[in-house]
Amino acid sequence: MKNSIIVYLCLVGLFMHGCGGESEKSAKEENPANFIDTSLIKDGMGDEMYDRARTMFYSMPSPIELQTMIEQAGGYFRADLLHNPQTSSQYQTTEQQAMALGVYGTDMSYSTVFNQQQESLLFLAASQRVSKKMGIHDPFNGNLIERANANMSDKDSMLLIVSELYWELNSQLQEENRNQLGLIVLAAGWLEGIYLGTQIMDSENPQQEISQVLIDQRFVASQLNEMFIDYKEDSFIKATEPFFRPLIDKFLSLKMDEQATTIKESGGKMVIGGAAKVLFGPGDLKEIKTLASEARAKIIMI
Amino acid sequence: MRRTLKFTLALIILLTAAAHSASAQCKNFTKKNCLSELADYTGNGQYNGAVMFEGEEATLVQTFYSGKDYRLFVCSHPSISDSLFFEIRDYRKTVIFSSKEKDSKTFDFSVESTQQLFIRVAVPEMGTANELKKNGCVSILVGFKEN
Repeated sequence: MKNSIIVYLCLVGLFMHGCGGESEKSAKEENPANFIDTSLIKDGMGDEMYDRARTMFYSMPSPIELQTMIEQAGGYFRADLLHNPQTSSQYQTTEQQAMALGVYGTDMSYSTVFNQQQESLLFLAASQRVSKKMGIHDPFNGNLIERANANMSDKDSMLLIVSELYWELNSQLQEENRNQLGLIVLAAGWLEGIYLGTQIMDSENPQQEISQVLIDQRFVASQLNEMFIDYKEDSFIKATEPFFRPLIDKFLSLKMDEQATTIKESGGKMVIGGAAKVLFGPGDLKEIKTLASEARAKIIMI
Repeated sequence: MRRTLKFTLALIILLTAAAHSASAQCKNFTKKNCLSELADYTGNGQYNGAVMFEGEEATLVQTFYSGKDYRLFVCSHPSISDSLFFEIRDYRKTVIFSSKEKDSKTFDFSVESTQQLFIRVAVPEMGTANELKKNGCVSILVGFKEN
């Protein structure tokens, strides 16, 4: 009898999983973690606290976005900078795997943006190996690998596939409340992007456009900083955040020149102007390059 | 003791399944109904979806790069989509765009210099009784292309 009750409850649980409704307030009360908690606002908290309550809604630009920026700014492809995809099966701890996945994801984006099909597929396979070890299956459930093989010579299709992969990966981690893991994957991907950008850049005579793209990472660093603060009590974040801290702190030390924001219509779209500009000197870029290189060496260590 | 343990286990499974359910529905809703609206923009790979009830609001903080065209699309379940609106705020939290004035859930734009923007999404109260409050999935999608 007791066993029957347990089986019944499990079946009810599985049924709800597939058939949940859209308008039952009780669902919110059963599982507050999946819903947006506005109680802090209602209690009269200020704007800052209101935003802080929404850590799930901090969103970082994807590695593809950064790599296309570097490409547009005059960047080029260097295979020797990429991580070794063959080591993907050697990462044993979840911390190592999350960081490796971030690195492989960015290397895949970099290869795709610069039309290096063979490398893209190698890093796609490496990402799949690490993801599966971490229990991340959604991105690879469909025919993603087959599609990538069939479309490897079409850069636009490959960018779409990589973007889809990121979406599936992020949504699965969020769906399973594994946001900390998602944060570290993103942070490692971001670090790899800066590593690649700073290595491509000529340190002695930095190209203006690449320098600007890299220095603008100050905005992303400030978002990452906020996200790390939100999870500061989490043991997984406590163990992994120190790898990224020196680079984040360096970016945060850069001063900002604040200007008024403007908005105007041009060619059928809105153009937002003004806002804050990051101030920097050549020494800052050199330091960023060193810090990124040091941190990257640590996070890919087996 | 064993009975309590078994009951607790069953309850955990039940609650986990319920938790997963709402979230999975939102993901499926977004996949089916929203992603295609990005059209020729490449999605930024981020999933920003949740169930929102009337009377609630949420903010997404996102960095946008200069030199790119962006499409922002706030996709929502029909039960709340008529009343839902969004605002774009700058780093000083000043409103620079509101969808209320445009009656559109899509915003195509570019930025002259890289900056952080705050996207505030609100589902206003519709005067429904507490136990019947309308709700639905809301997803904020961001796509980009070279300009």
